[in-house]
Amino acid sequence: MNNKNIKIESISKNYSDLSGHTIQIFENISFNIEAGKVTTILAPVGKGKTSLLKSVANIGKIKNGLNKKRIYIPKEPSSFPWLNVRENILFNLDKTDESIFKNIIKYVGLDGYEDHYPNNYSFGFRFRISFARAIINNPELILIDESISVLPLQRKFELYELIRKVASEMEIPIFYSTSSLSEAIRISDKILYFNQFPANKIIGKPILIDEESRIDDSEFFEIQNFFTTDEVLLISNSSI
Amino acid sequence: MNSNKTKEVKTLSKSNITIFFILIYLVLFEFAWVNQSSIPKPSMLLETFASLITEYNLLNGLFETTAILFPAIFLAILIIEFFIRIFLNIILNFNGIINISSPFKYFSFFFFALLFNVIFPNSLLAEFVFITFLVLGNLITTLSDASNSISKEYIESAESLVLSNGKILSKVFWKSIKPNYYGKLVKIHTNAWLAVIVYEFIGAVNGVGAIYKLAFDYNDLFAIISLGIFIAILILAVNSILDFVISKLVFWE
Repeated sequence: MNNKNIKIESISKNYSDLSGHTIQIFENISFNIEAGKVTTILAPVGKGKTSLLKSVANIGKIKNGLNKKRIYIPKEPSSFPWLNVRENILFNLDKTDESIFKNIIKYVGLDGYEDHYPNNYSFGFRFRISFARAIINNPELILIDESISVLPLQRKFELYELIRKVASEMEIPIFYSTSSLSEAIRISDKILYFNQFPANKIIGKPILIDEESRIDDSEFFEIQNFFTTDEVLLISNSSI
Repeated sequence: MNSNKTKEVKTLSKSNITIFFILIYLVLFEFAWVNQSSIPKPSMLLETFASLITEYNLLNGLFETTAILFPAIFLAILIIEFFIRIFLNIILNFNGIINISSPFKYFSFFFFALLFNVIFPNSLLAEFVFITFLVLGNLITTLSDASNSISKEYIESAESLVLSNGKILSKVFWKSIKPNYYGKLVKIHTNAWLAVIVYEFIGAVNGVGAIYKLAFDYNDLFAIISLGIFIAILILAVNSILDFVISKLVFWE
């Protein structure tokens, strides 16, 4: 097994509602996120995808002193509007090799925008900033929470390509979440979904198609054969 | 961008309304309705303003008031800026402390102004401390309100970058709420003027408030109105400068 793979073991999540009842979202679930690949958690809205990502990213837990970071990119792009692109990307770093910065900014398509401020730009632009900040931190895992679902199709395809390129060329495991089966199929190497709600198991389906058919709708419908009809109905949230 | 435009339109309409009322007053009471005696004529107010300087020693009073007011506001702002991590930690983790102090807001500042004047009569230092605490209290309340406006995505992103709690507070939380916080400074400045005048009116020794008291004792209606208009223009001018400076330094939108 590649030592850059991430093994998630026995994580659980619950919360208390207003009446004080404990609601279990998932319990004791384990799965692997492989290096160099995009693994997607697919589930309808409100079924615990964000909670799973935050649990894996250790959001809300004290992590001082950790060398390896699991960088979480929330649904709303989290570039800081009071900083320009360069300051955003180098936000938490005391010193970075300028050539590494130049390479990454070129890689994510922000070359020439170093002094621009993110609030004047689109959702996709701000996602690129957050993504570049994640990459430059040399993380052990990047977690992306439906950040690009709201973009127009063409912008989405560009970012799918960028995310897949970063995963494979930099060997960074990427954990993506979406409620859209079509999006999951286009971006993922492996799709995970909960067995039930609340979940006590995660089921994984590898996507074994070549790169070109990822954006081919006729192939897309065949991919549904990976799932039973009930599973598709359950997990796709009518987004086919 | 849109909010800036709306703000511009609001400021414009506010100044238009002010100019409109001044014109109405000028035309009505200077030229049209000359025989009435209850509302002073604009030309009379101008004459009275001159007597405010010569007879009531306005410039000296104004110096005394502003020498207390602006350093007090400045000091309160500095205290917040300097101890921002401590204040934010208290607001976020020990909100009970803020709640404990909340019954004090039901005492009017007038009550505390009376108290200070009785315990420390004629003390400029007491006046300075009173105004500093009042502004500080306003700033802490504003900080607490602004803290609710932060987008949690910023905090989660910073957390996943393994930043320390202190750095998250100062580099993300504070930066994020700054526009909201400083946006209220104009209102706090206006309230501080009200407080300082009331304080000085009660003490009747120093500043603009003492001039008001003198004019009140002499039953000098023209002086009261003339001074009121002058102070209102002064507050408006400082507010405009504050608005401009804050929009250039703090607002990043």
